[in-house]
Amino acid sequence: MKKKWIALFLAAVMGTISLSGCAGQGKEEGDVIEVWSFTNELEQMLDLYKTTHPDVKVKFTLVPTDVYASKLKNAIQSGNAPDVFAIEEAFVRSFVEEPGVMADLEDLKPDLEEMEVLDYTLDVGTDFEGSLRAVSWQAAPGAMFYRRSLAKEYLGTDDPQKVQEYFQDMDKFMETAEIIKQQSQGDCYTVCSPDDLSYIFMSKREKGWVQDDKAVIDDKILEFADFYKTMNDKGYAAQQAPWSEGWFAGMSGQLKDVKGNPKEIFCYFFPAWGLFNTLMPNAASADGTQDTSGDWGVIQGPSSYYWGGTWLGVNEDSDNKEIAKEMVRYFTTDEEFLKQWIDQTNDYVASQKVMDYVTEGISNDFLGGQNPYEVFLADAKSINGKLITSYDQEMNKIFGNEKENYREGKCSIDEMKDNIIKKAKRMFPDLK
Amino acid sequence: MKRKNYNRYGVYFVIPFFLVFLAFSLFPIIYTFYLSVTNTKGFSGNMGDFVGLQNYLHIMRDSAFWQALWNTVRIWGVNFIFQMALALFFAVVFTNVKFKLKGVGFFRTAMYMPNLLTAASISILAATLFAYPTGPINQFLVQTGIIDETFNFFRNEAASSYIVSGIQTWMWYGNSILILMAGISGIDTSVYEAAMVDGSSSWNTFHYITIPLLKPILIYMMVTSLVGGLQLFDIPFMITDGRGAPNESLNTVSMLLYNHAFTGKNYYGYSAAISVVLFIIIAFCSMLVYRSMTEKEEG
Repeated sequence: MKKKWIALFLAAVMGTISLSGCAGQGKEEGDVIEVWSFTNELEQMLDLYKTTHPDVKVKFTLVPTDVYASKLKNAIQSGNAPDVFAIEEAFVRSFVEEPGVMADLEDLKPDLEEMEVLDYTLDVGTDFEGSLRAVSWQAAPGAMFYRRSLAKEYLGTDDPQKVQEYFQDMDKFMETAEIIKQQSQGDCYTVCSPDDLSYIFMSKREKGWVQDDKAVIDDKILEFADFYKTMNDKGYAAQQAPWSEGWFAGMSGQLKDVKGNPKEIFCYFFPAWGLFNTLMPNAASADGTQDTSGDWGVIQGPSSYYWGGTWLGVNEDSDNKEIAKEMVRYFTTDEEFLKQWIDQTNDYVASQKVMDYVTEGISNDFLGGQNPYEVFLADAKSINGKLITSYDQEMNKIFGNEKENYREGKCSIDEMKDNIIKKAKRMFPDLK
Repeated sequence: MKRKNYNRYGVYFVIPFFLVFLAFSLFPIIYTFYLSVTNTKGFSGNMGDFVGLQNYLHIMRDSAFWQALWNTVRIWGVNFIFQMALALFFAVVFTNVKFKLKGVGFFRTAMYMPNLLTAASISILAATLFAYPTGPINQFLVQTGIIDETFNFFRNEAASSYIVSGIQTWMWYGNSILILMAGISGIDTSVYEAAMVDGSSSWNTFHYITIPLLKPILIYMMVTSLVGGLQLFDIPFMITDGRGAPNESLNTVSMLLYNHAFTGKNYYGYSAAISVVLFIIIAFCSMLVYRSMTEKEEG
């Protein structure tokens, strides 16, 4: 008799445990706004939000970038999507263009206009019917960051204006790369990888990857493939792919080649978010022995460009749409918040009104006292948001593979072009 | 004497399993078949239209699918050969009474341990080890002078493929050793004694006695390895860029299926069709192997 009760009890416990997997995220009562992002930028922003909106309960979840798009899509399909979510440039269009997913942000337009939010951020967030679905608090104009000590050693000067002359266009860039190589006898590479400059070429395209349902290989893409091959063939690049261990090591001056010899990297290319999010935190080595902070300078480089950016959207099926929209409105147009954000991070905000007002007299110690905004301001107005498509993430991967083939000499440039189009059609059968 | 019939209790206890199976396994399977004849795409949850066998015809003409199928078979084939060879060798050595090996238990456990690791961790480890240009393997090869210039493993189709097969072998040979050892222990020792008395060499004993008597186990291992191998996804997905780099040589059918469904434009209908075709292929191959086993028994 006792055994029967024990058995029943154990069975009930097992059943309950197995059902715990079905828990899911129920819609909570009250104003709990769920926010998802792939970096903790948004978490920092939420800290400021909480000071001015103490009555709103917020729950932030960080989902890693490489699984972010799939997880978010799954969450949307199963009805468990967050109220507010961030989307990266790489996949922003695939969410904006999908009907019925993102709420219309028409109400925000008056504020956006008043704060003179950059048009390109609105272009990217507008779907094909002209409704505004996503907005961004930031813009992502890019600049070139060079090591002052290396510039002094190999170019004889670290003054930004003089260094800019060495890199004022792509031809001068290649010439200077040769100078650096000669002067350092191969101990200093101009860049970690030619991929660091890919954004320069991609920004200057006339058309995005896909137009009118056809895959487009803009001339700039072919130019970039050639540049990629030349930089590697001539030994100007350290062959450390972006975001690899070696790429980070170069920022703190700790890169070593395969035989253990130390190598230096002359410059990196970053937009505003890259400066405070990637370069500054990694300039000091983990054990604290080396720190390149203060040894950097910023110049325009061979061309203006943009790279990435994060947009914010509101879930169409959200129960707390008004509050969610208000949160997005706050992040993109609230003057106090934007000024505090700039103070905290030196980010480049999309509101021109705030940028014009705030960026006088900023001196960044990391850059040896330089004001990075002088360079960013020049770039921001020429960004073409229409180049971003929903096919970007896949097309960039296909292009990455084919350009390696070209660089290895396995195909000609025309064959590379044909291969990209062929693979694009295989991945997206709808393309003509 | 009357015996109480307990049969109905058996049914009662099995019903929960069937309910769960119906809800979580059977329904999704049927739904997949249904999806495969529609052109559902996008992630807003809208169902597509019925398009009959259009997806299947597309698969027949899709060079990406056939390439992926060949990749999958190739990676599995190389893995299987080495896995079986290693496992057989170790199983025979460990169960050999003549050798009186010490520490068999330890080795068995140690060899099984790779199976317990998650595929994601191993893939990241392998990607870091073989990294170009300054990964540890490259550093070792260059600094000891075995090669002059660093070698980009993951830009070489053959090298990448062998690395993936190698990882699979390393993960699964322990499992095979356990099963084979169990199988060998099941063979009557009197057969071996008779062979020893007759003066049979080790190789002859192995070839004419061990292998034939192990045939059912070997067939079982082949089928399970086939089913698992043709569905290979985790290692090739995590180890390079998730699209089968270099040049889609690591693209397996499951990866193709996943990428079509969950990335890009989310072609759920097409992806469901790929999974149905994969199912048919695996079922067909398993049936072939099973048939050959039962035929030989009758013969």
